[in-house]
Amino acid sequence: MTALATMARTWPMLAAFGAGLVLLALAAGAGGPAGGVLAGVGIAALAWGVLSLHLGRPIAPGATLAVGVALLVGAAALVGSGFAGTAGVPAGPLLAASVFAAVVAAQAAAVVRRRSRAGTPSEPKGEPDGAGRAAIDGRLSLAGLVAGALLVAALATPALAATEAGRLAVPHGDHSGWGSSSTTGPAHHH
Amino acid sequence: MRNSPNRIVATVFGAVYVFVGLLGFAVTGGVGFIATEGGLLLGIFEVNPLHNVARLLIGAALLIAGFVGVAAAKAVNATVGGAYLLLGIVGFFLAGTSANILALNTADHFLHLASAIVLLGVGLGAERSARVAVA
Repeated sequence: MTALATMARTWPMLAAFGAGLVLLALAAGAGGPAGGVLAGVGIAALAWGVLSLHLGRPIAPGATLAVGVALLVGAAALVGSGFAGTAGVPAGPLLAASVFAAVVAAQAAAVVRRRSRAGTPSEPKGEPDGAGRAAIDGRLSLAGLVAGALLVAALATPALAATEAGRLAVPHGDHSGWGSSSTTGPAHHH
Repeated sequence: MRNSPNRIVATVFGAVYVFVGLLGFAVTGGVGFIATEGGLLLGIFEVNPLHNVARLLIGAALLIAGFVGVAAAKAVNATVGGAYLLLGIVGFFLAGTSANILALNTADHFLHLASAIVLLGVGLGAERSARVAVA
């Protein structure tokens, strides 16, 4: 496995975290059936990221590819038809979630393709050929994880801020304590 | 420790959190201990005494876990990262409250999100055999 591949191994899982966070923030602002769908896909994305990281390989690549492509097509249809605005789903964060979904779907597609070609287990054999190699791989993986987290945060932070939850967020210096509220209820629904 | 990603991350992040927490008290020196309004740390990060206490406690937990061993570091990394993301998600649905800790386009929100992802990622993804090894 090349150094770049070792570094980027966890990026699809981190992208799933980004997609899940943005989709759940969108769900909080959208409400109704659209909010329910967004929340469901967001939770699924987070669960996929957690389980895939835990197991060290992307789980259910076929289903992941299908959901990823469906999310991309659905987002394009929502924005293109103008229904996104009607449903209270801002286009910017939806686009950011689509970028995250595309990363996850691309990796799932690569795994599916590799499986269908070779008929062998999808996970590349990255067995270290010694303690030195394992240590190098560990450091590369850690560097890749940090770089991936920064990339995800760089895209997710402005996307989250552009959601309804972001519009109603209270700057640290302005709030009056954990759990305090300047409004009386959850994000209003459209 | 040098070959354990979890111990490296726990120790480095713990040290930074403790340092930032202590530095925050210098910025908020004139503010009451339980006050929730403070100043700017390094001209960028908004801090108040409650945040400083939270950073000190989290930093101490990470530091101790980093010194104890791989399994402890892995558990604390995953717990802190996961708890932060979970709190952030709950905050989306409590808009307008201070629990909404992820949805602002500011430097500290960016770094909190990035560090939460790193902590959860390394806790879940690195040294997956650690718990088995110490069992």
